[in-house]
Amino acid sequence: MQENESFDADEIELMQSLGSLRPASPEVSEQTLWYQAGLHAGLRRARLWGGVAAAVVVLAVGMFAVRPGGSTVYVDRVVVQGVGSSVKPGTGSTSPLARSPVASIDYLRLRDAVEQLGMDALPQGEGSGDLSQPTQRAWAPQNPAAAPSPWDSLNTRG
Amino acid sequence: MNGPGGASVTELFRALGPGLRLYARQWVDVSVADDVVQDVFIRLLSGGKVPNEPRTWLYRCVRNAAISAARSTRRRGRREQAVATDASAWFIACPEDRIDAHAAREAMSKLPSTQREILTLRVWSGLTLAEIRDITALPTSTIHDQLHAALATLRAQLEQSCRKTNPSTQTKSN
Repeated sequence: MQENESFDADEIELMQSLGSLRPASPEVSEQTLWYQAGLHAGLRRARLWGGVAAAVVVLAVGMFAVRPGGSTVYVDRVVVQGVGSSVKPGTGSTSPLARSPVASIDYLRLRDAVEQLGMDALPQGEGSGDLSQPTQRAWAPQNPAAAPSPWDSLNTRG
Repeated sequence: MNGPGGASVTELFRALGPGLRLYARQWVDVSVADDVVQDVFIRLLSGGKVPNEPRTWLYRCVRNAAISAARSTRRRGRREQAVATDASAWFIACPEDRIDAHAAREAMSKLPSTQREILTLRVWSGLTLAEIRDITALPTSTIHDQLHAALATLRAQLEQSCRKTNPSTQTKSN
């Protein structure tokens, strides 16, 4: 204690007398201290992982929102149209009945007529097909291949 | 967890806890002082590494935390007054004490805060003037002068209280 040389004997004695007083201990046990430290460390780790998860979510949402949007691509459609045909651009269809525009229009007319008038509206077409009596064919099909379908008339009309 | 020289945090808590609590009491009351000491040790434990000078580091941390805690309250002036006149025990009174604990606390509460802080660090924490300089950021000469002044004031206060409690001594000495 070289620093004590700068104090006189009375001061050193007073300091020693004061030093004999024992300060009160903290009202915290060592077990509490360790428990709190562990809890603190655990919470900090949980907070760290929570922050990482939040950052990932924000990044994902940001990437989804900021990604380049699909621009409208205009494609010139090439339509081959025969002379006298009533095909209009943009009415193409893959339906077998609608392959021919005329057939599709006829079909629609026929459908509307059947809805309004019933089976009588069906055409009494060529051949032996009688749509008003379908059961005859169903019960006794003589030659199904030879019997023309009423749909054939639709396809052959155009 | 061991620090330099094999001193574990538990040993540090046992050895320095009372001194740190008394040091924190310069600014805050008992419960806050306990919280401050606890928080500093928790920081030391969860930090995973004991600093090279744990004693100085702990006192510096306790000082900063206690001052921050004292500042955080709106009624700071009232709190400081309450801390200075706090009647709860600063010291554990023992029959073997050469100075009455209550009288010492009374005398210390009348010291200026800087002198009281330096005296606490020097007497009850056993820090050197250089360590006190590192903690308080005051020049060594100032610390030395403040300590001399604190001891002189304290001596006068203790003698005065001694005369009050034992007037016959005064009569005989006169």
